[in-house]
This record gives sequence, C-alpha cells and structure tokens, in this order.
Amino acid sequence: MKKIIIIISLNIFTYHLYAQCCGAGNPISGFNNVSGISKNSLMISSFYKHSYSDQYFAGDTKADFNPDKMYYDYLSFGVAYGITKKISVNGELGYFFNKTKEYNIHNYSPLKGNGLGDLELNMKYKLIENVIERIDITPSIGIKLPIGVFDQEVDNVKLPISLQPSSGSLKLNASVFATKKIADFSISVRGFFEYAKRIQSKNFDYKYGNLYLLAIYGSYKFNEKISVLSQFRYEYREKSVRENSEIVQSTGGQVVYFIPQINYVIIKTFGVSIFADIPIYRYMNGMQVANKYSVSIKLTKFFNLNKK
Amino acid sequence: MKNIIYLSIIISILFFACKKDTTPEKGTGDVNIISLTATDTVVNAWQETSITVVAEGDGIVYSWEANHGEIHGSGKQIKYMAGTCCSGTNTITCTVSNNTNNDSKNIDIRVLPY
Repeated sequence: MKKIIIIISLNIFTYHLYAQCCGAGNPISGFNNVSGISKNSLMISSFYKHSYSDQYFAGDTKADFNPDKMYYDYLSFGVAYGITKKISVNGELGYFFNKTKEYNIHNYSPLKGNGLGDLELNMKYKLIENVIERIDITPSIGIKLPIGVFDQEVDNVKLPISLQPSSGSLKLNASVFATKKIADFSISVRGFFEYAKRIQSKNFDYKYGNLYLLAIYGSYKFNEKISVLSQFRYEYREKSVRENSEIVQSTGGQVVYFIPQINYVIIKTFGVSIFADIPIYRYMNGMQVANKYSVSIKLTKFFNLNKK
Repeated sequence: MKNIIYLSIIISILFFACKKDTTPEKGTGDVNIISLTATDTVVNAWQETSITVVAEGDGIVYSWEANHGEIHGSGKQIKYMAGTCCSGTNTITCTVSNNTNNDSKNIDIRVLPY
C-alpha cells in the first residue's frame, strides 16, 4: 500500500510552462512520473488545466497598458510504462478546448483556437535508488513532436501562432530529478532543459527560446490517503530569434512560481491531485503579457501488470 | 484491460471528431490580384493598419495569413496588428482563389517596438 501511495505521489510532480507571448504549444512538458515507475507497471493519467493571463509586464513592473488578455483550457492523457526495473517511458497528448485572446483595444472580436497539441515522449533511467539512504536520482530525456494543429484558420484567416494549439517546433529536453525521503517528508530537486528547433517554412522562420527550469519540492504524507506538496519553481526562457537572426526583444523572461498541491488517494490505485500555479516573481523581457494564475486537476490510475 | 480500451475510445472520439467545413462555394474562371495595399506600412506595436486587396475573377474566396502578428476581419479588407512579441518586418499574404486557379501576393509591414 505504501508503495502505491509513493508511486501516486510521485506521479503528480508536474511541470507547467508559462504562456509567453507568441509561444504556442502545450502548457506542460509531460513529466508525469518524474522518478519513473516500476517494471511492468502501467500508469494512465488525465490532466486538465485552466490558465489565465491579463497583465502585461515590462521587466518586473506591471505595465499601465494591457491591450489584451489570454486564457486556455487544456485536457491531456498520459501513459507511462515501466520497461525494466530502471527504465520507464511515458507519452502524453493533449487537446486545447480553447485558446482565446480577448481585446481591450480596437473593438476586435476575440480570437479563438482549439485542437490537438504536441505529442510528448520521455524516457527515464533510475540511476540511483538507494533504499537504505532513501535517495533516488533519475535522469530523463524527451522529445516533443509538433503533430498538432499549427495552421488553424477562421473564415479563411490564419490564427496567430500564439493561438495555434501546436508549437510547430520540434523540442528536445533533458532533466535530472533527485529526491530524499525522511520519514513522511520528502525533499526533491529537479533541473530541466528544453531545446527548441528552428522552424523554417515559406514565410515563417522562427526559433523559440530555450527553456531552463529549476524546481524545489517539499512534500508531506499525512496518512495513507492524503499528502500535500509545495513547490517553488524558477523558469528562465531565452529570447526567440526570427529570420536574419533577428532577436525578438519582447520574448522570454524569468518567472518564479509557488505551487501548492494536495493529493488524495480515492481507492487503492486511483488518485487525484489538485494544484495551482501562482507566480510570485515575473521579469518579462521588453513588454509581454504574463501568467496570472492557473489551476489544474489530475487523475491517475495505476495498473500492476505483474498480477496474474 | 477494459479500462484501457474505454479510455482509448474516449481519446479517439475527442481527437478525431469531424471538423465542420466552412469553405465558401467557389466560382470558375481565372482570378488575379490587381493590387494589395495598406494604409500604413510602418506601425507601432498594437497600432492597426488596414490592408485591402483588389482582385478580378468570379466567385473569389479571400484567404489571409501573417507570419507574425494578427489579422482581424476577413474578405477583401482586413485589419492587421502586432504586439511587441512580433516587432520587425512581417509579411502578410493574401490568396484569392476559385475553382479554376488562385493567385497570391505579399505585403510587408514594419512593426516598431512599443
């Protein structure tokens, strides 16, 4: 039972990328089970997120001009499987029910996109699993494939890339996750890097800025049913580059989030997690809209395929 | 195993649902763009400019695309605007088409930082 609780608890360490201006694509990077899962175990999860952004920032200061606001609702499904004792893989695919921009200027009607996002695939390797010291270290590598919608039109007018469900860019990532358990507490650290490949087409030449994350978690298990988790996450995104190597000054920036989370095991192998991303520091290059908040819920079902 | 099958069915329904075809009916005969003009070709971020296409032919369908920035409206005349995310020289493409052929033309709009 304890093992299952731990697995489900680990499964809900998730990463949620802030929606920078002109950055289409999935809101999550797909690390459903940052520490991997055991051999012949199967994990299925469903994740819903609502995100809202209405405040422009110039550097770390709120701008006095807010021309628009953006919000989205996103639902994804993920599958993870333990291939060996040390290696596990997972995939995740999501759907944007809406990706909407509303305007405070020019009396424009809202623009809205919807559709399939990017496909995320990851492989994790349990490098160190010290049962006595209760330390785990798990590096992982992953890829994000832009299989979703990137050319959506409304009335024969193509939506801007910030509202396209897919980023249109192939992305590669690598990360390391380390955790130390002390009684019912655990402390975890994760470093993450994502490289975005340049997109080149007839009239479009663009490279999203690379992304760096550093997250520190603390979690506490109250009982067999309930655990809580607090996360501080620092995100740094480089500026984007467009044709002729021109740097797009109002892209990229730094955000620090506080993410409180509560996890509840409904039945033996089925858990739910609710959490919120609350930005506590934002530094946006140039002038950009910044995320105000997001709320998420995640359901996780675990299957032990070793059972006869 | 049943749960996996049910979940797969739900995912399939969600992701592969039919998309409504909103393409207007097209005419026949050659179509050509005569001109593509903007009221301003240099604008500040969030300042709008009107872009108008003049084309000849029957049953013309007007399609618009911008490599950066936003297009508002549809048809022969649209409004173009870009925020600070999209400063630089942006290309707006208009395509006119019918059942016989199509024609495209670009116009560049320089968007200055806010």
